[in-house]
Amino acid sequence: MRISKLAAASLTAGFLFLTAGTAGATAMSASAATGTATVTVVHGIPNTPVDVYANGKKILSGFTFKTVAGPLQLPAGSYVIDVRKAGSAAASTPVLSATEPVTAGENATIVAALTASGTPVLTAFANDTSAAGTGKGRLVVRHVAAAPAVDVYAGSSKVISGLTSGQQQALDVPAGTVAAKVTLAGQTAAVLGPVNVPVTAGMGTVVYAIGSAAGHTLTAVTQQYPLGGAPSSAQAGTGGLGADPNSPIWPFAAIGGAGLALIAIGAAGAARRRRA
Amino acid sequence: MTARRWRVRWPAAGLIAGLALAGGSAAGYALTRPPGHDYGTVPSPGTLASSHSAPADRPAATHRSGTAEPPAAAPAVTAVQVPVRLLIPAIGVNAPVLPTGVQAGGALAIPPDPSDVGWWAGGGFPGEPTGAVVLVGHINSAVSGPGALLRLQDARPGTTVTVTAAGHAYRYRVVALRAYAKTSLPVTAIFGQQVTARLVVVSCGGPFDPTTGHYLDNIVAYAVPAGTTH
Repeated sequence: MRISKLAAASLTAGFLFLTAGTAGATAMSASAATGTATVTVVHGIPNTPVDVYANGKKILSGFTFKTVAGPLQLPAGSYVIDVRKAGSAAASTPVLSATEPVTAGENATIVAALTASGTPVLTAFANDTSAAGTGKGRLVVRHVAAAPAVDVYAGSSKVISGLTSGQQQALDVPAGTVAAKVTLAGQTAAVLGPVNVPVTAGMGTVVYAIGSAAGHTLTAVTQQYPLGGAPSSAQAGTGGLGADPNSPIWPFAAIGGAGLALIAIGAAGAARRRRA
Repeated sequence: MTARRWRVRWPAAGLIAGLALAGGSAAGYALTRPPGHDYGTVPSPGTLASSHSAPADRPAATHRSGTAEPPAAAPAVTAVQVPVRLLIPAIGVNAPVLPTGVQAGGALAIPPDPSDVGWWAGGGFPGEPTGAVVLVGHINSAVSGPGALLRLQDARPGTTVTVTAAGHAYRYRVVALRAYAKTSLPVTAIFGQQVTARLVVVSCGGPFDPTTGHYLDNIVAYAVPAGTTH
């Protein structure tokens, strides 16, 4: 029916970012290299199995509530996304319809969800693929449920306040498991969770609050997607167990160590001299 | 007087020699590292089908307006396969595969449990005609002992590698093994995606530097598709 203005703006921003971000890279993501976009589809409308069409071609059949489909690779271009009740004729009037432009290398998620007042809606979110710090992942919360504004807790700490339906918020956190809890804004009783959400270094983990508060169908589904551009290194061992006996490092380490010792002696000597 | 002159000069000389030795040790290894880890021929990028070349940039205005372009006759929507397990029986590898990504500074994150193998989720997917499926695993861990890819350096051209994903088994055949100093990693050869289908398995190896807690080399096995079981 409609694509939220926020989501449309973020798609445009994502397009601009990706255009700038890949220009100087020596290697690129697979989807950028092949001119495709990576698209995930989330079903957040209770009791409504659907078929999903892209430009008239059925891409998902019998797609049900709480299902996350993908990743799908779509050649860059503009897509008319039609959602029909499962089993309906391809020519029948869609329940939901929207036009989605996707760009090469883009990572986006299309959510069939409910607005705060319970109206079905298609919403597109650009997944922010900018890198997080070493050892960190990105936790993204998207409120796409028929429910009022919510707060989100990680453990006992409130990390997101007053998130309204159709909105998202992201934070970069150390890799690990986050016990996430959703409350109505300003309250402490959980309407959802706590659920254990895995946060992986170098990955975005998206938690979708879907369903309907009035219909007692509020629940959460998650999606993961990769962060960062192309890698430039991999550090895959810290123990020394597999060291190659034919090419020992120790002579070089010893020489380096001797050098460090000489630096220390020299620095000490310089300090003595300054005092003298 | 003489003693005073010695005190003045030794610190300076020591600093210079120390800096040279400390800085030169890693470079010294890189220059003198012995051969013996390289087997086979790294596959060339190959000829990519034109349908997979990057499209020309579309005007941003078209994108912002959201105006529908003429729909493609049949959008080639592909549900790609996410790897879940890596099997290399010849060198005792049978490990779960978890998606991973790239951290600030460009380092590919490795799963924290050394018995798991990471799959770069921004890279290629098994079964696709183009792109490199990039897997990365620990040789070992200071905390947990041997890692999933402890014996990657024993892989040889001809070694069979299987990647499973959603009920499909994608077989690959190793065609080359390389040891690269991490200071001079051929990033495009390893991570580049503008290539015909291949599998690249990355671990660490070579000498272990106890001062940094890391190995000086990356061991890289290159493999090409050798059939699929559905």
